[in-house]
Amino acid sequence: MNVRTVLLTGLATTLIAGNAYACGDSLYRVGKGVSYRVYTAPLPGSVLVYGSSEGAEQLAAELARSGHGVRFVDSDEDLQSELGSGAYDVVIAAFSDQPAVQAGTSAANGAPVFLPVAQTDEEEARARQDYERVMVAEDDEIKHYLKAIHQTLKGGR
Amino acid sequence: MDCLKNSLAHVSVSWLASLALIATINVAQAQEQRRGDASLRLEFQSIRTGTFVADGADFDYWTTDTQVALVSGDYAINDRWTVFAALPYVRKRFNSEVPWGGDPHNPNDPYWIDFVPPDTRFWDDGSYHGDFQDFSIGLSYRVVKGPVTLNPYISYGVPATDYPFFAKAAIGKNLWTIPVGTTISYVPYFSDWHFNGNLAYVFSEKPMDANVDYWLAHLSAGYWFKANLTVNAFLSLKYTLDGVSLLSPIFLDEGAAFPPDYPGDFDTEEWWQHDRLIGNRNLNFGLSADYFFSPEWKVSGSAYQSVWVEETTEIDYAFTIALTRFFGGK
Repeated sequence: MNVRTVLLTGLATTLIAGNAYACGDSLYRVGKGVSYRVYTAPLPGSVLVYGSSEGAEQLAAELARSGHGVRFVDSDEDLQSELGSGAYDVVIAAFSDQPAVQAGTSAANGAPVFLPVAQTDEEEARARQDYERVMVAEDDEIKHYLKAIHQTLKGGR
Repeated sequence: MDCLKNSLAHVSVSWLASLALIATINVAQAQEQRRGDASLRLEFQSIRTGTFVADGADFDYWTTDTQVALVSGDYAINDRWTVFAALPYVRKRFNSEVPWGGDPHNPNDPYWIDFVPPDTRFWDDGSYHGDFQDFSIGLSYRVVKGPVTLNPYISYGVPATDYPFFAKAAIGKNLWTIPVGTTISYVPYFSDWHFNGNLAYVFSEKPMDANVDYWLAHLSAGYWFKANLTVNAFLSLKYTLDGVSLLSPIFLDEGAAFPPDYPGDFDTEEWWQHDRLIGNRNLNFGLSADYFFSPEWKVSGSAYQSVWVEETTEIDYAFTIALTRFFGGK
């Protein structure tokens, strides 16, 4: 059986009139109740995630789960190839990979917005000099990535 | 590259637990309802009631203990329509809290002269009495607009058995009801908060031709501490528009003196049906939690009590625990 969580919109419960008391009353609630938390992307975009770790791959999976079109690459060669396609709105990679990302986007048409991930405070400070939005490894969760992507897409990249 | 490897390790660790649980779903599945989506829920409730408040007067000499086993379920007919049903088994007992007996309702008492109750079952003897209460079946329609989901619904509740209603230990009013309402759910984007509202107008069978329709409302706010764990606070309201007070003179024999003699002046059909005629109003506050063990199984619990009542008994405490099994459609 294909069991799956169907509850993002399954918060609905129905009130029925169960009069459990004499000289009183109660009600029962029927329905699925509260669901799993699943974040959704109100503006689905095309996202390229670059990294070689399991974490990067899982980030890509989470972004895809939220509704974005996501491509995950783990080699510089693939990164350059994908960036050259001009098919992405956003590219997520470590701030230390900025040179590789820039090399790939400089020649591309409709270059994606780089969303760097800073590992340290010092990296974050440097990244903020060049980029409007910077993710911080120790602080940011998937919802923050989604929000940053959304703001990027909403701002016309 | 190493930097991303390290930095995203944080994401990886943070989400590992939830990823393991939701690995089998994708967003399209999660957002959509499909034919065959279904759930089956078994819930147990334990409720202690105390003071009855009528027109500002407190009656504080008995309590009741109620235990409910509620089986409910729903089934998606298609991506919009869902049928649901519920059947509670309720057992309840009356407890006197005073030496003089606490006024158990006994249809066999000798004061029943002008009106003789047709149902002589005596349930206020201090023992538990139980039966299946009201079977409900209904239909809901799902509308989604961005982060907001609306589910208008209609249902029909009918007593599953002919249980007695003249007793403090009665398990219900033995009246059919038709709740018409809607739920509204709001889950802000990129947030761990969720909000749920539910408002229903309940058309009720009219005992002695009296309008005892009422409103039901439920509001909740919850926070997902993890993808599979949420804690919620809620308010639930019942508000009967009409209905009478327990202290109403309609329950008295014609020409009864004031103050009336109790129970001698109360051998009327109205008193026999007073639990059906009284306009119950109550507001409860509670906390609840839901935890998914897996995509198929969820356990839920709640605790609540009354914060305001009129013409009804206060809930001193109530606890519920429920197990829900989910089934995926095609």
